[in-house]
Amino acid sequence: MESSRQSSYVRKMVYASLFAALTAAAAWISIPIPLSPLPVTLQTLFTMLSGAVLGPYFGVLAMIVYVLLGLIGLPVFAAGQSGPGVLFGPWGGYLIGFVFGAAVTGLIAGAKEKPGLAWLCMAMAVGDIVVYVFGVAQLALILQITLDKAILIGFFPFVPGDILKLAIATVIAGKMKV
Amino acid sequence: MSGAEVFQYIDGDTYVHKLNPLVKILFSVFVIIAGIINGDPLVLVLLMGIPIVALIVAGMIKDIITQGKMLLIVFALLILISVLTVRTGEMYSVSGVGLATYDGLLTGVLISLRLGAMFFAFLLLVTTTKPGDLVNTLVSRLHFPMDYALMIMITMRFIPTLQVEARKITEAQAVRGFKPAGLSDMSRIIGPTITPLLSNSIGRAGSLGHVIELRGYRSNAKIKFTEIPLKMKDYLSIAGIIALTVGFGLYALGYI
Repeated sequence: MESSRQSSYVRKMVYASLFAALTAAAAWISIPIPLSPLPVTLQTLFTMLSGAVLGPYFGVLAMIVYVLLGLIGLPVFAAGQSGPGVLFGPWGGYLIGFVFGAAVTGLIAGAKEKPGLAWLCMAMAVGDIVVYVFGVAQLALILQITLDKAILIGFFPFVPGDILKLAIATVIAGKMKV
Repeated sequence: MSGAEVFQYIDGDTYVHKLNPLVKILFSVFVIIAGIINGDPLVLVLLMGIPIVALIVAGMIKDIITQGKMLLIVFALLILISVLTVRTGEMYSVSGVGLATYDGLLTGVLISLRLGAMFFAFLLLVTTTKPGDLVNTLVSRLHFPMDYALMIMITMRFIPTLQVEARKITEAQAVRGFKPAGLSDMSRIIGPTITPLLSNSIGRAGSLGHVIELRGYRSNAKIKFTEIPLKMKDYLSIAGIIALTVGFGLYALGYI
C-alpha cells in the first residue's frame, strides 16, 4: 500500500478488478432518500477512487468490468438490479457516467506528478460531476422531463452524501498508492 | 447470509455440470435477449422457470431458496419504485387515496420477472461451470480478450470475499464497542471499517497479482487454450436452445 514504485501491468489489472468488485459491493450498501427513487450508495466513492488511485486507463477498465458484470446478469447495480434494461433505462446514465467520471478523475489527478490532497479532491469532484452530467441527461431524455426537473430529482438529493463521500475519498486517495 | 459462496462454482457431477460451458453461455444470452424483447409476464415466468429447473437438476435447491429469499426483497423494492414513479393508467385507491396504478404494478412485475430470469440464468452459468473452463470458453471459442475475461473472473471472486471481510471487520469493531447508527455516523464508519477493508483487500490483490505474474501471464508467451470438446448432449442442448429461440421468435411475431 505504501510502496512508491509503480506496480506492473498485471498487478494493476488485479487492482482494477478489485475496484470493480468494491463498486459492485458498494451498490448493496444503500440508504433510501426522499425525493428520489434511487437510493444513496457508496458507489461514487469507488468511482472517484478508482480514477484517482489507478489512473485513467485502469480506472476506466475497472468501471467497464463493473458495468459488464451488471450487463450479463450479476445483480451489481443499485437496488440489486442487473441487465441491459437498467443501463438504457432512466437511471442508467449514472452507470455510463461512472466510466467517464473515472476517466476524467484519472486524467486530472495524473496531470500533476505529485498531486496534493487539494488537487486530488478537485479531480474527484470534477469526475463526480461528470457522473451526474450523464445521469441527469439520460434521466431527462428517457423520462421526457425538463432539465431542471431532472436536476431536482437526479442531482440535488445526492449532494450531501456526495460531499461526505468526496471527503472520505480524499483522505483515502491521499494515503493510497498502488 | 452465507456470503462466502454467492455466485461461486459449486462442485458437482450432474448432467448440468457436465454440459459444455458454451451451451450454458448460449442459454444465458438467449434468456437475456428474450427477456429484453418480451413484455409478456407468462413468457417471462417461463424464462425464469427453465434455469430454476436446470438448477434443481444440478442439485441446488438450497441455493435457489437462499437466493430466492434475497431476490424477493429486491422484487418488492422494484415494484415499490415503479408504483411510485409510474402514475399512468387505471388508479387503484383505498379510501380515496390513490395507491398504485395498473401500469405501475405491471411495470414493476415485468422488471422483477426479467431480473429474476437473468439472475437464475447467470446463477446457473457460474455455479455449475468451473471458473477456468469459463475463461477457456470465453477466450478460445468466443474470442473474448483474455485480459477482460480474467478481470471479470477475478472481480466475481472478489465480491464474496469483500462481503465476508466487511462482515468480519464490522464484527471485530462491534466487539470493541463501535456500533454506527444512522446517516450521522456515516463519516465515523470510514476509519474503523472502510480503511481496514481497503488496505486488507489491496494487500490481497497485490499478492494475487504476484501469483499471476509468477505463473507467466503476459510474459510474451501466448497462452493457448485447448477448446473443450462438444459432446452429443451438448449438441442436443444447443438444438434445444435453437428450438426455444425459434419458438420464441414465432411467438414474438404473433404466429403462435
